[in-house]
Amino acid sequence: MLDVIDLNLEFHDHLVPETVVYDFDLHMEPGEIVGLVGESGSGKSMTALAIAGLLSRHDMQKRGKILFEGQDLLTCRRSELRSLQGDDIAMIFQEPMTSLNPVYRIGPQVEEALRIHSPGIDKEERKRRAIQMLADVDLEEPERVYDAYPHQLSGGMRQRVMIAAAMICGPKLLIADEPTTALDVTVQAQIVKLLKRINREKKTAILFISHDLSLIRQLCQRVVVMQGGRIVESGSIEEVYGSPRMEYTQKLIAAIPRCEKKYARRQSGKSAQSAKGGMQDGR
Amino acid sequence: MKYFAKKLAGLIATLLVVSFLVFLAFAVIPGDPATAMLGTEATPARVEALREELGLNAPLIERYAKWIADFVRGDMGTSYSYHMAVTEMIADKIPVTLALTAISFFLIVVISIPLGITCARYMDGALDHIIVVANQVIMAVPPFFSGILITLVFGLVLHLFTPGGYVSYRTDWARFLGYMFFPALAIALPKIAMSTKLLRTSVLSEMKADYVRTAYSRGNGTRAVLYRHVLKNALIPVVTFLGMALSDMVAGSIIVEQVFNVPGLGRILLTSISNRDYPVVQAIIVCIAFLVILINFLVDLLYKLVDPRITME
Repeated sequence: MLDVIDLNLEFHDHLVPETVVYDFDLHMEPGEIVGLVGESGSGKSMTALAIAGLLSRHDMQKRGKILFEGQDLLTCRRSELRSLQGDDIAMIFQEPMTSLNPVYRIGPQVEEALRIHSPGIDKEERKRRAIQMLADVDLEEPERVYDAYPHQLSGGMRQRVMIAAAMICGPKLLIADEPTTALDVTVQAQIVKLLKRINREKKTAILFISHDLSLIRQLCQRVVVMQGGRIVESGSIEEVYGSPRMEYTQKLIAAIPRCEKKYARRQSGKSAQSAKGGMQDGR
Repeated sequence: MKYFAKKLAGLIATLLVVSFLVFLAFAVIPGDPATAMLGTEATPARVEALREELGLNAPLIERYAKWIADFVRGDMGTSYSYHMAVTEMIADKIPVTLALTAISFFLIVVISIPLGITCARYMDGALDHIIVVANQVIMAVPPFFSGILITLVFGLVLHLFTPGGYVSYRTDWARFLGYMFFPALAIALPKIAMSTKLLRTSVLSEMKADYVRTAYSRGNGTRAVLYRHVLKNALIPVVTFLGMALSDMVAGSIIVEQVFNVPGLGRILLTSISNRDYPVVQAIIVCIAFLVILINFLVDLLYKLVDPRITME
């Protein structure tokens, strides 16, 4: 479904060009959840924005290929890209507090992608679907949320609204750029659970970007580790967490707080044996 | 409801303060209406008699109290110079000044909003550079001078209107509006420049907001992002400015009315000040203050419409 081949992102806003992503490769199957992990500045968000077609800066050079169902998003026409955005490829962001437009009610924002991509659907039907979607992301009193303004909702509720808005057209790929970073731990767990359920029920592939390895482990089937704009390691969760090859990955895994490690160990019963070895290396 | 009651109380208090200040100002500045009416040749006895007749010898507070009591009953007094009821004198001038302000405001809104957005959209393009430079120049020109230039260019060279050929709204509405367009343009020009500049800056800063990225991620094009998402947010500071500009224009139209020979409140105010015609000045200033406060109140309501985060308490 998604093939990123040799993606290079270069900024030309200084005298000397600066490359932020080098030779990035990624393959995603429909319905798969892939984690993209790395520290701040490792290029993971840039990569995500490039895949979502949201890097349109003129001072930036993009090389390589981003093939979505065979269509190269880097060379296709803007109108073609726009017809995919919000319809087949949706994205949620790190800052639920500011990602919604503060001066409009939730309803029109949740419906927006539907209004753009399915203009044939009438107003009542759009509203019905939006309220259904708000209920699907476990928001209580979806009718009230539909009529609320963003500032009347909590951070966790807003992120659920963002997810509802992203899912309204039933996208094939959902890119989640650190969707839980700005939320407190209990809400984080709920959002991860929700994403998991969406993936299971709607078969939406999810590219989950985070610097939090324990979250990636709870949610993803595969993980790609980035450092300094390059992929340093990738593989299944069991492989990477069980026997990390690179020292950087080992350190990242070692940085997971201990109680979470115990929890994570309990969660992945299958690979408990190998995981234990990997984590102890780091301590 | 509480909000409206509070606003109304504020309105009344402001009008009291403003009218008292005008009373006080006339008590302090030199000049006497009785002398102005009788001329410098009049004998002191006649002047004194007239002062007594007009009630000018009573203490300031007493005169003010009497004036307020009459005003509340709808009696604004009688003009010293024209010997007619002030209400009658200013009744047909208020629509002229209001029309002038309204046309100017309309011009500001319909010109500066598209212009500001266009500048922001094509930032650093040729059009943007031209508009930015033109803005700087226009902002620096005061309305009375742009009024003179407009009279010269549109009136004397292009013959689009007859300078000084004011047509009353009672005679012909269309020709009235046609004439008023030019003084309104003179008043509006510097404000258009300021509003365009403000909106451009505001749009550019809003374009960096996170919700803009979200809007693009849903498949919106730049035009849709600008008009559907950014504009309403970017208008918040512009509404503040427009509110202030509108108040300023009600009061500021006085000078431009002189330039274009428009018989609005401004002309009558200037004559009345030089004649020391207190009742007229008093009434006009209270009317202008009332309009300004009313506009501010409407702007507050508009805020609520533009930005739902504002609560009215």
